[in-house]
Amino acid sequence: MGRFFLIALAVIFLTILLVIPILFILVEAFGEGFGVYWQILTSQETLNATKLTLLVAFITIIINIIIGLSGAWAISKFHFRGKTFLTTLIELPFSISPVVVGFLFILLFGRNGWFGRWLEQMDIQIAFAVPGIVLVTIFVTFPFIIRELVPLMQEQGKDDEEAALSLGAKGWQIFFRVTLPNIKWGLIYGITLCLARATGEFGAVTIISGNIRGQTDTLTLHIKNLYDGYYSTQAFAVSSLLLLLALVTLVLKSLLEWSSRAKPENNLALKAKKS
Amino acid sequence: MIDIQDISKSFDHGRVPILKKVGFTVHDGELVALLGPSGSGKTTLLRIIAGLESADGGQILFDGHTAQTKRMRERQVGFVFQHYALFRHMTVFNNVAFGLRVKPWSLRPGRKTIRAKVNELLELMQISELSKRYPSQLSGGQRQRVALARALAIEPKILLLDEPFGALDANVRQELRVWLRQLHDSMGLTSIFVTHDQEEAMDMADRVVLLEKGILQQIDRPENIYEKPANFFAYQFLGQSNQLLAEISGQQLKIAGKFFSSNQPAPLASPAFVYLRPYHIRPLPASSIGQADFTGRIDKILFGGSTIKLHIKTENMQPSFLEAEIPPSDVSDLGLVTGKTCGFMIRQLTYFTSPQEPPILFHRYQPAP
Repeated sequence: MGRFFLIALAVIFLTILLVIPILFILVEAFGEGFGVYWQILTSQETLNATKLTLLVAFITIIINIIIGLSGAWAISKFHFRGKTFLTTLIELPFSISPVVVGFLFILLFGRNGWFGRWLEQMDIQIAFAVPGIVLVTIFVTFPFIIRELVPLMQEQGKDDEEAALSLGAKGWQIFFRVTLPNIKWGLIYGITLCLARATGEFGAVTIISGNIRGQTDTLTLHIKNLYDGYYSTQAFAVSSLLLLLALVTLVLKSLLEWSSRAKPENNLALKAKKS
Repeated sequence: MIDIQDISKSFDHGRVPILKKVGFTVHDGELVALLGPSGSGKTTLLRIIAGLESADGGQILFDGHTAQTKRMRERQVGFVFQHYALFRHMTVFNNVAFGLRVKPWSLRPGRKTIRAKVNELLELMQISELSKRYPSQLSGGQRQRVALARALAIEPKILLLDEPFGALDANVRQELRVWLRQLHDSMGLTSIFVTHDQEEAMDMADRVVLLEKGILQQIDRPENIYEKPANFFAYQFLGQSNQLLAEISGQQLKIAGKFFSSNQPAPLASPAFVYLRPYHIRPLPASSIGQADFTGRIDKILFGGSTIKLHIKTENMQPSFLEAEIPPSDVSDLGLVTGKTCGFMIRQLTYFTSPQEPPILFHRYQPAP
């Protein structure tokens, strides 16, 4: 009886919070027929916004992987002064409102900002341009990967790497043959979270981008613009695109997990990740 | 030959000294134990020899060549880690093949050679049937064998083992000890292993290096280290002992009215603490209690496998509690019963004039009638 009640509660909750809104997006998106839907998706503005979103997500993920791997390596395998401070600092982006982050970067890189004059002389545009969007997105998303990796690598210690070293492996061989396979699942999970957040970020991006149509509009900004202009069908159509992106990410991750679950060592890695 | 010369090491920028000028030589074909309590620096020393850690001072010579300039992968040293450190995402076969596959292009053997070599090693370790398993599917003893096979794949001349039996059950441990000793001999290796278990060190090693607080206490053959401890620490660490108060003057020692003598004079000390091993106490049959030097009441008889422990409450010694160790057959042969009085002799007493010096040994002597 208790079990039934709990399951029912979970199902009702998920239906109200997840299923209905998602269905609502799709219903609204196709509200004026498939022709209109297709027209909106293939419009120049939507294409530009999609390209920008994917570009920003791609750069963000690459940089976050590099920061995440080297940061997690440093924190988990070495002792140094200020390590606890650094570990706390990593959590910071989670506790700062993205809007504040946006303003922060304008304050730094805007025309009247700290580096504004110097950047202008060098003819580098950061605020109100793509580099600014990339920067704030990295700021907002960089904890995801490193936070997955640090506990995993701390738990595994240095033994495997030292064993590889004692067997004659060089640095890159140790990394690709021993370290990376050990943290594979944590890394993939972190990338998934990072991708979801990078494509969905709104607050920080809306401030730093300046909302220049067709140039600094990411998908989320594009949706907001359409909605504000009372083009709600169009807004929902583009929303469905973001939804699709999220679903593809999820499916890819599940496929990867499923395809390697047959091997016992991956089950182990999965368990290690989840604990 | 491994020449370890004045190795010093400290952690935390010199605040925590780990090793203080430790030096000794390991000859070709020797199996040497690094023995000491936890925190004695034995593992750090092993890691320095392996090149996993660098020394602050001193140097290590392999066959007369300095090792410091060589990186670990050039040292040709096999290392077996305490918790084996097997690669969990690789099968047993791939674990063992790892050292061969990461060799530089010019030195890397072909696929067939690697397979043959790995299979040969697995056979030698008697784990051929496990080659497709993953480490998580193996028992402790099996993991140990895989770790050994992996270390031996790169054909090292020197094998270093960190607490090789620490994580194993008692019976597996015993079996692996014998097996490892045979392996060492048949492969012509020079090996150093770390252990905190004195029995293990005595059982396996050609020579034992005794470390305490980063200082080399004694290096000797097992029988010597036991019979001729270099100092108080060596004596204490290598077995249980009883402590008694005695009066010492010159070559004579008096305890409960009985005299012991040594061939070496000791400074006057009265009272002084002397020590005796439990197996140096010899109970006498109940019938000859009159001839006994000392008497006491048997508090407890503890049956513990190959030896029996007697707890004796003596009548005129200080402190009055003694622990004796006797073969199991003695209990019935001598008619020892809990609660009864028994007579006993003491074969040897050990006295330390200072903790750093070798002891002076006293034996029972009969004054001329």
